Amino acid sequence: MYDSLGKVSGIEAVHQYLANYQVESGPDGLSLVTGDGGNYGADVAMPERLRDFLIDLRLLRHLPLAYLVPDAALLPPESIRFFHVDPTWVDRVIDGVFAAANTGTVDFVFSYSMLQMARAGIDQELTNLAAAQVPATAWTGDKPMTGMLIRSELARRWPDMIVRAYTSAVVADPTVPSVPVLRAEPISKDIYIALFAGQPQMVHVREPNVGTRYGVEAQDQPTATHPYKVDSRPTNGDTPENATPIVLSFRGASSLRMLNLSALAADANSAENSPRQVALNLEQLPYVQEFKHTPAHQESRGSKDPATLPNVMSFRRNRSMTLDKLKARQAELDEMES
Amino acid sequence: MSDYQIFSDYVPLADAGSTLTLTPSQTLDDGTTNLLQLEGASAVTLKVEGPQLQLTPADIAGVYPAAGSEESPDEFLPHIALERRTLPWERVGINGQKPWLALMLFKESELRDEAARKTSPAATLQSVLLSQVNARDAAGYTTLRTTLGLADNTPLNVLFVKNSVLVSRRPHAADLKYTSHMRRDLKSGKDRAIVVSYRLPDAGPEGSEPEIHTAFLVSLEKRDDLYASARGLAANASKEAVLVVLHHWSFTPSQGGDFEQVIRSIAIRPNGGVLRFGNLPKDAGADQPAPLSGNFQGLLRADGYFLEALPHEQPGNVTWRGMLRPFAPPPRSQGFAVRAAPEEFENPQPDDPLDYSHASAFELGRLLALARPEILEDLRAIHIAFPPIEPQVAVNKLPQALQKPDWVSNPAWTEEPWSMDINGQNQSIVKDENQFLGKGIADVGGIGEQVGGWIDSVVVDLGGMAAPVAAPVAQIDIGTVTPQGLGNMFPEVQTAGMS
Repeated sequence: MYDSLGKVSGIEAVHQYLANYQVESGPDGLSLVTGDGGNYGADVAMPERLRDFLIDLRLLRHLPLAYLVPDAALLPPESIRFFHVDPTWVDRVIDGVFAAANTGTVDFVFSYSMLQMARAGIDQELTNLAAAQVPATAWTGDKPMTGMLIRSELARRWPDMIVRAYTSAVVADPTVPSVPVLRAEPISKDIYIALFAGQPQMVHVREPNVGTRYGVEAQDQPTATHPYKVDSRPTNGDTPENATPIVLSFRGASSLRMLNLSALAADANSAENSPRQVALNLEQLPYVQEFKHTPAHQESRGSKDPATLPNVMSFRRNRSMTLDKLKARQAELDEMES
Repeated sequence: MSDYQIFSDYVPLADAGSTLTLTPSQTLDDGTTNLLQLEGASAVTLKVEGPQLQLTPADIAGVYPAAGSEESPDEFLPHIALERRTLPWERVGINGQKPWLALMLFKESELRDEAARKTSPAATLQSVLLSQVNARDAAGYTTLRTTLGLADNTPLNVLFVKNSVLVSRRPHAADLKYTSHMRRDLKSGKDRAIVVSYRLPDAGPEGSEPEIHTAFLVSLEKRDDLYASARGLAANASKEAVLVVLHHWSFTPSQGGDFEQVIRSIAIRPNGGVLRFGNLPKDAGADQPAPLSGNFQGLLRADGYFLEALPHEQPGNVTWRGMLRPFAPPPRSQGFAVRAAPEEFENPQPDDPLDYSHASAFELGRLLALARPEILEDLRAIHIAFPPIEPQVAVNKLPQALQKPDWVSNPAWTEEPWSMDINGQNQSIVKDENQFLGKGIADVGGIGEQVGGWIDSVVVDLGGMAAPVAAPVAQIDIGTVTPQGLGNMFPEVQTAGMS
């Protein structure tokens, strides 16, 4: 004779909505939910400030260093570490952010939808961020990230160093990276982090663009009067690996460190006796360090005992550095441990 | 191919400060007679202007090392880049040669004694009138006043240095031309003049505190007096020389190596090495397997857990790992954490591993949000924006008088549906949908109970009523029936009703 009074009550409607999900307690001390709540709340816009905060969390910003490196031995002084990011761990941080605003059980309903939408939205933002750097990248925000941590005076002295990543260990043009770098910045005075969209096969860490610099290089066997040299460059500005060194001399007392530029210009190994040639020979170009992930570049090369190395470490352009200090420090540590 | 070119110089056609006279000539005739009547001066006099005593910020493209920096290795020479590509060659320096600018470098201890250095960290220039120079450096004053033609009231930024300091540290006359060049950036198309110092900074021996250095861009315009032999006499050693400074900045050189030295040294012990996260820069023992890779000792397992648990206060077999792992993690979970469930950690079996990793991540996220009022505000804004879930309520056709305010039999259900006492436990409704429907808890079965109280009496009352009419019922068309028609068809009913 009459229709029923109410098909469902308000609270039952909420419960029906909850039935779209499976709520269960996991072994990790959290109640987890999976499922699909449809497009409920799909037209709710996320405030830009909150969105930026969540993207930052996905990029490991705002997280205390102790959660990144829970033991100091994981990142000792003067070290570089390559890692994978656990996406579920980071998702749980974001879940916790939304939980902070829950005031009751019914709020969980909203959380389900918000978490779904937020995760999809942040994934898309990260996809856009990656594509803005490398338009051809196939990486999307739901795919894994990797990264590197640098704890070194590099971060303190060159906080603007440039990190580039590549899908191949051999690239024709290193100025065109093929793996987006989602984040590259110092996180403390001497710690630097870089996050990659995917797993690169090669990473370049480049000395920052500080403009032009002029300088000298230490000789392999420096003397008090002739401690420095420069490499002779051809007039076209090339930087040959086997360039001929020009030993520099000083004007006056060597302690005053005033270079004899006339002698440099007139040196037999200088391509030309001119101010421009002096500038070319003194010019210092940015250095690029390569890190490759190939079978030919074994991990065991990542840390070497100085006792097994020659005393002189060769650098580009015939430069070198002695390992005396490192060997002495290592010997001290070995003695302390024994 | 390089993206820049270097030129030895860029000498302008006319020096700054010089006067040019232009004498134009023009003629107009018909072949025999001059038709042009010229009036006014036959020549135009121009004076070429250019910076002489000071530079503006717009004149300077940049300096190296940066002012105030402490990280430049002492193997790098200071230099200044000038926006005016001709500037170092616009005037005549010493011996009638160009360039006229030099970048001189001094350590603090060379300019001031220890007591003065305590009052301010770096040397500063003195702003004086030319006339005030005379008392401290007569030879310099004469050059500036007479040779350059500056007036006595010309304001100058100057540095006074002892002759002994100047003579040993001034640029060698033969080296001056090698300290300036012009650099053309082929990408931007910009030309800039570069003046490089001839003197390297000195960070001192290892372990010492490097001194502040100050680079001075000094005018050597016709300053042959600075190279006069008299300045080198012992009698004049403590007397002063005036240097006109167009720009200056201070920095502290570093004892550390350059970028290449620092980054390549990382792979050599006792430095920390370039390794997979979790590895230690020590070789695993000959009879010990490497826990991760590369034959190194390690702190982590391949799945990111610590080989030896970190110190913790929780009882039991507690494990934990952070967000960084040595190897690729398993695929991302599709679930969402909605609440902490610490009860899951209660009463574990002795060997059950208690993994606090995700619980700590969840709590960390909560705390990060709670610490930021603006984030909480945004979260609340989203809650408000979400539409409430609409219950599927049908229109109630019962008269208001017959409607009950609540058909449930358990009042607690309406009061606190989110927290009910069920079998002695306080539980949430979201745990089990049966809590909505179970009789005696939160059911709609109360409707039957309440209706049962009065439905019997209604049936009895209706059954006790006498039949109003005895005639058989005839079918009527409800669409066409009228009162008169009903009267005709049911006169007994009409009569009974009216009686």
